[in-house]
Amino acid sequence: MLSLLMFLALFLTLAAGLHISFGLYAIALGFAYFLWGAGGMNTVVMSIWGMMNNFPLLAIPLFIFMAMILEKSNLVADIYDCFYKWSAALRGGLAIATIFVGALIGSVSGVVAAGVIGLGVIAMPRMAKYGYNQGVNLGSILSGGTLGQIIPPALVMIVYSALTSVSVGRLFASGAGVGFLLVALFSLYILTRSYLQKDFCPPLPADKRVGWREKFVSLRILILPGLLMAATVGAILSGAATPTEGAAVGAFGAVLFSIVRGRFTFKVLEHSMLATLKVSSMIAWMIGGAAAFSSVFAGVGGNRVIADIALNMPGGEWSVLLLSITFIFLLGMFLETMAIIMLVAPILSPIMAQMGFDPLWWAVIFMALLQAAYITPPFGVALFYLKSVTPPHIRLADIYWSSLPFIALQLVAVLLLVLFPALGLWLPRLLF
Amino acid sequence: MNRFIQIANTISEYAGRFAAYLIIPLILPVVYSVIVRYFFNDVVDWAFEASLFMHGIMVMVGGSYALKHKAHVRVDIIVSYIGPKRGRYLDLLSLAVIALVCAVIVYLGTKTAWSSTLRLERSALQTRFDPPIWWYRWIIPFSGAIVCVQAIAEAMKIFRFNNDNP
Repeated sequence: MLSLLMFLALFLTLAAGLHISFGLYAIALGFAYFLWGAGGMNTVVMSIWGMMNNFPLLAIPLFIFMAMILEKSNLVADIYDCFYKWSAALRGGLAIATIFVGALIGSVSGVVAAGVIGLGVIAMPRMAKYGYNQGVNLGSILSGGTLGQIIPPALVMIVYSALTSVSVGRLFASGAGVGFLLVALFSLYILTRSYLQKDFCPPLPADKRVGWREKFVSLRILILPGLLMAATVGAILSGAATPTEGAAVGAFGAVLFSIVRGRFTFKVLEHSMLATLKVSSMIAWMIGGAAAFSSVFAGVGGNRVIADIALNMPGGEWSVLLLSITFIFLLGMFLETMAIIMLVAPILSPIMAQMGFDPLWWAVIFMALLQAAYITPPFGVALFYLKSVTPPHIRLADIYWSSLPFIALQLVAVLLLVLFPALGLWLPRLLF
Repeated sequence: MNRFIQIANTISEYAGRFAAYLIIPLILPVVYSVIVRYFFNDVVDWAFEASLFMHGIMVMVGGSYALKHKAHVRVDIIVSYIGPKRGRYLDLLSLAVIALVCAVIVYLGTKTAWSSTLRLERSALQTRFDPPIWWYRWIIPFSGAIVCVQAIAEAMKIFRFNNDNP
């Protein structure tokens, strides 16, 4: 009963547009007070203290800082230029290049805004210039730019593992597998459609293509990001470094990279530090709130109530899974991805383990669903990132429409993961 | 009222800038300890806790800067339906919740920090470094206090705005 009241309070908090983190603290404080008196409210301070002493969380500001510094080093433009040269002759080549660049940026950055905004500025005008269909133009930027959240390093995965008991390293490895799957699905879709519909993505005119020599010379731009990737993600996946150590080395490396490219100034540094602070403070206060909420929720027996409901569900564990997937997908239309993790992961993930599902497998399905949450209308954040950099004649509705085929592909990926768990789990099985 | 807003803004800006710079002493000890472990096969015993402190101070103290720059996440569906004028009442409600929550955090946090100070509490992590951590507990009430002040200032900004635009 009390647990249902807590849910109701949470729903009202969200619906009234209160700040989510403080809403979580308020609910935790209120219920703790009425249940256990003033002493019980200490749960909240203990949750904050726990957050302040959680070593894996250090990776969050470090990865954000790394992404901010790289963003200002024109990394997206440089890498796009290279892929553009290689894929110009192919039908749909520029859109596929957009997907690949998104994936590559994602492998050195766990922040989605950088990918979507960078590609929106650089890739969109070129695809428009060569007569690409507007839907695939916008859609490939949305889906490619958000790949960073599933390809390691990814912020959402660090937060997820802080709230559950899944290890960051394993989650990173599974995410890489799902990232490959998504890149393959997106590219296949673009290729198929551009060969079936002749005017969908025309190949570039012959005089815009470049020779083999220039193609290979352009590859040298990948050397430094490749090294950076090896030092961070490579070190984490091989077990040579913890995610926090990998993140610190990556942040340090990003600064070196930016100095080498001649784009490092005091202004860049200060702007990156302040931007990092805003995002990581927000996440940290919310983690404290989510921890307080879920410990009070567990205290009122809420977890047991949810587990009872789940265990007595007609259709058994598979209908619980279907319902959970639908629920997260629907939340994705309205909530920020961080908020979805904070609200859903601590409550739902233990249930999934209790139902006999592999926690890592469920975690990676969760992450794949969040991938869709970034671009599902009406409130997927990536849609607004893209809107902020597109020319005014492109309406928000155009962006909404362009996202739909790619959301469908992401759901196909989730379905494939459910049917063939190995698609997500082959890499962690290989490595750990 | 203007004076209060000014003071709150100044505090948040300075606290934010201070906290933002902590990313540097957060990166360096970790990188240093990785280098020492990798190339010299040695353990840097202070790096773990030092970086932990830097992170904790950074994200807690940055809370009021994040509030001032509207970085705390909320769902704005309702506001887009009922319009900005009535939406400001929801803003006020939200800020009141923040101020209240933070006031409670200050009260509870101070109690915990005070009892820890009396014991001169040291780290529970059992590392060789074994630093005192009672001072670290004071970060919680301090951060709560500046968020509380900033929330009141933000509410005052809304009042001021309403007075100027009746």
